[in-house]
Amino acid sequence: MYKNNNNSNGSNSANGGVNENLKKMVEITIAKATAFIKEFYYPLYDTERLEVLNLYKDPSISIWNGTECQGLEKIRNLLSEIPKSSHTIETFDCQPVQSFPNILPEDIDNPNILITVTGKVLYGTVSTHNFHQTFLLVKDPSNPQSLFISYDCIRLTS
Amino acid sequence: MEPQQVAQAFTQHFYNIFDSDRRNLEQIYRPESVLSWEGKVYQGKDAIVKHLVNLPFKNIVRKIDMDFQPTLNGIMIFIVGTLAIDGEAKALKYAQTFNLVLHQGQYLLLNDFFRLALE
Repeated sequence: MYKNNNNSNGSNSANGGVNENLKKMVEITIAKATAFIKEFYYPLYDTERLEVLNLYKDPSISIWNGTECQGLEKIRNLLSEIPKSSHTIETFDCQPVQSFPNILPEDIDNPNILITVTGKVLYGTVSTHNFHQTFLLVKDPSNPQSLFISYDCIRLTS
Repeated sequence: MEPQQVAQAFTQHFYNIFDSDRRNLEQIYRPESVLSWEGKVYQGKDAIVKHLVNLPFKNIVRKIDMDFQPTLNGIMIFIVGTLAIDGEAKALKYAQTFNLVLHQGQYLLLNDFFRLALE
């Protein structure tokens, strides 16, 4: 999934170190995003729905097909109202969200992460939809090694 | 500028350039930009613009819906839409996400994700 384009970044040849840092961030991002999607968010969402709340914190915003919920209480209500689900992931992409203008040393091993996912979701037993979902995972200030969902937005596209 | 205006202005500006002459995208992407295009990751302005300029089509007709969300230091833009390439009748569905960061009064494009929908 990651293509090494270092030789075409002529303008960055003086900044070989910068490229190496970004490359490492991308590798770590792919590992963390894969775990988030395949081991946490969607499996929990489909089988232990209320456990998903642990992935959010109070400033989090979750948007379901245009309905915006801010804060843990509203997000808990949203999670309770959505019918039993079964997700099939078709594609996902992820990127580190680097601090700007300079990558901070602590961000290389532990960047904030943007993830976009497409797939199909079955709600209840009858209605299947195509969906597109975006997540922004950020470091928990009280526990910086841990990421939480600062923002997520799902759109049903069929 | 209000976030909604920023989102609309950027989106319009980006697609005007993309749909007319992709070489001018070098004004938008930066050394720090990262593009995910159909699953491949391109890093930095040179690699990104080279990939986009070499895509094998000329004209695009586009229809979009746009959502946006302010972030701590910028704005995220979510686009779902259709594009018809080089006069083809069938339009393809796609989704694109931009993450812009505000720096010294300017919004800079750091993260760009593009995926065609599977049919």
